[in-house]
Amino acid sequence: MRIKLYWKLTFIFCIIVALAIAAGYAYLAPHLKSYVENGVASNIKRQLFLSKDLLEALQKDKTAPIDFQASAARIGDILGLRATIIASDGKVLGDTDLTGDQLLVVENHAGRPEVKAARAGDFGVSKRFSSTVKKEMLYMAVPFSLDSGRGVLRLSVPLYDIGLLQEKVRNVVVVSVVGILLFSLGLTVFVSVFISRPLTEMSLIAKAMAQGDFSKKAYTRSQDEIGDLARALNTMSEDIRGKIESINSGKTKLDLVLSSMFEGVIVTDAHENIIIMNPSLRKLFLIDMDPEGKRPLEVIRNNAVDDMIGKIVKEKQQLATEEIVINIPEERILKVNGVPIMSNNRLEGVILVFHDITELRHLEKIRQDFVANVSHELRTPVSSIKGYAETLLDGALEDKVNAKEFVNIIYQDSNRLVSLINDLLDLSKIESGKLKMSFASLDPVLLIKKGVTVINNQAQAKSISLEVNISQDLPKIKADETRFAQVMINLLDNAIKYSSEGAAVIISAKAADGVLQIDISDSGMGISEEDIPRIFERFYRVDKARSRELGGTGLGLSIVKHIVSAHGGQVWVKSELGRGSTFSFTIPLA
Amino acid sequence: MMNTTVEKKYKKIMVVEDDRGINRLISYNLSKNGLTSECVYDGLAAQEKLAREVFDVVLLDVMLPGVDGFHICKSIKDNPAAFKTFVVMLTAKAEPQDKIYGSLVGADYYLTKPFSVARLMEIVNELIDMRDKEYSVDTPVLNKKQECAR
Repeated sequence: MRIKLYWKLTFIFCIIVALAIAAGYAYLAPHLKSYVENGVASNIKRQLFLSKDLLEALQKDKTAPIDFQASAARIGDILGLRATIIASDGKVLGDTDLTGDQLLVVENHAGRPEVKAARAGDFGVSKRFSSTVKKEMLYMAVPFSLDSGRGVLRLSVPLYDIGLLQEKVRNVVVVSVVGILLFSLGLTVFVSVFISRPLTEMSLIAKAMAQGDFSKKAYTRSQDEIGDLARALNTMSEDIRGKIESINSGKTKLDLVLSSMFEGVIVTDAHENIIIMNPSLRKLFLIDMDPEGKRPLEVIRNNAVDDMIGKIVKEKQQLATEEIVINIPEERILKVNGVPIMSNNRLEGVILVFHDITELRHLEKIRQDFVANVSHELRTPVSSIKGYAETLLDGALEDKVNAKEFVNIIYQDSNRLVSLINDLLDLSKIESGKLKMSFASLDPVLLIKKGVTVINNQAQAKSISLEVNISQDLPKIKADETRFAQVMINLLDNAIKYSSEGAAVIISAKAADGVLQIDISDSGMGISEEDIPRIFERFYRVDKARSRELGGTGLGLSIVKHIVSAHGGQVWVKSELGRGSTFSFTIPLA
Repeated sequence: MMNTTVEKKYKKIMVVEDDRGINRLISYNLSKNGLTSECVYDGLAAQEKLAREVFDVVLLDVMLPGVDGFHICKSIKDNPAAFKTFVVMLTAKAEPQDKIYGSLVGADYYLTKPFSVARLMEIVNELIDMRDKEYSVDTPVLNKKQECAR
């Protein structure tokens, strides 16, 4: 059970006060009775001697005989005691409590112990039951000189009266003790409150601090230890607030860095419980629960990651790198780097950083495929050249019917090699960004006409008419003259190649939305729907054999796409099998 | 160059090659060796032909329109009727893994482009001779596979 300091102090003070008073009383009580009795006795004794002197003085005045009964009554009245005057033979001469008639019948007092003692010496005292007044009494007697020898004056008081007195004194003492006790209790409560209040206040401030409220200040006017404590508390509050602020700002920076990172980050403690997991990683693994404090396997559900953390914890390896593949929601390849967090040679935790290298791997695959394709594309014409040359050398030179054709094939295939090499170089220059484009503000009408002129002979060879349906006042475009021509020639070349003899190829252009769109339409064989998305890929041919026969490298459209992109334009195709195709591209206006 | 003998003309050879120039080159050289051949330019046509006839030797390109050469080779070797058919892969695919793949699908020879016409004729003549002497098919094929894997 929790008892407040206030009550503890009050309780302790009360006990101390009560004990002190009880001890005082215990010491005082036995002395009180005898003190009162002694006080009364010595008082009576002094009065006795005074009365004796008075009686003796009265006797010296011989003018009138003494009325002992009246004297006894008088002394008793004044002193509030019972006075008795006894003659030397023990006969009672006067008594306060007796009348004259009673005196005559009263018992001789010579045998009374106090009287005996008084007659023998000069003072007698006795405590006994009075047969005369039927009470327990204290007697004191003294001898006095009487004409007829030595008389005895005796004073007595009922012991009961002394008891009453004692009772009165004790009552006073008890009342004052209770009074002191009550007063002390009041004082105790006040002192308790006085001592405990600042402590209570500071305890509340400390509680508020624990909850992050540093606005309250302890009251520090007193100069004692409590004041010191209050000042220390205030200083501590300031310090903690400062530290928390600096930690918070550090944490905010860390959070900012972690949440803006593209890479996924997970930090665990040495027991493999997650401390931090950044948004990128949550997104990567589709985690929507709060991961803090949980095990990585529980949150990420990937054995490879869990094994890696376990391995780093076990081996404290400086840098572990692994590639893992996840399939949810789609296949992604992740490169995971892990390091142990070491502090004074002790493992504090593990950091894993996840790089999504899916795109990188994809590009790598494309590059590898491209290299394989290039190798194939080069090997085929070279085989043909080598094979025919070998055949010719092996005697076919004499075969006049075929020899010329073989040489012709060699010539065509070497041309194929040349254009392939040129296209490859172009492509590699464009892709690596080494191709220098000099953009200028150019008249598209002139450029289109120039392209048409270059390709015109080829068209005429197939009796194909090139129809240029463009307005003469098209706005200028921002383009590289040579590369624009290359795009025009590549597209026109394709259009002518895939058109049948005598057909028409139509070139049109229109300016809209800041770009110039140029369309080249043929009425050739067309492209099937499933081939359309792939025709701009390198080495993709709809009809490989036909393309090769026509001297295509499989790179023309790929180059077109790259050049148009470098201009900031787009290229696309609309086609219908057997009806022809329309290739369109846009170039920004100057 | 081997002698041209009358018997050779009875052997059936198919050239599956999509490049017309190379196809023509091979048939020309085969005929010079007294061998007639059938020219096929794509994978589907080759499969159709192979389903109807049994050939003694098939010269097979890998990168073909339609069905690729490895598939055709495997279907030849898996066909109990065509188990005597020799397959010579003739391809621009020159990577080691391609050669291993070729041996896995059961190719007897694996020539990479650019190839030597003389070497090709040597191989074809060797295979035709083997067929002539009615050798058991298994033993030389195993040897050839080893050579190919090397």
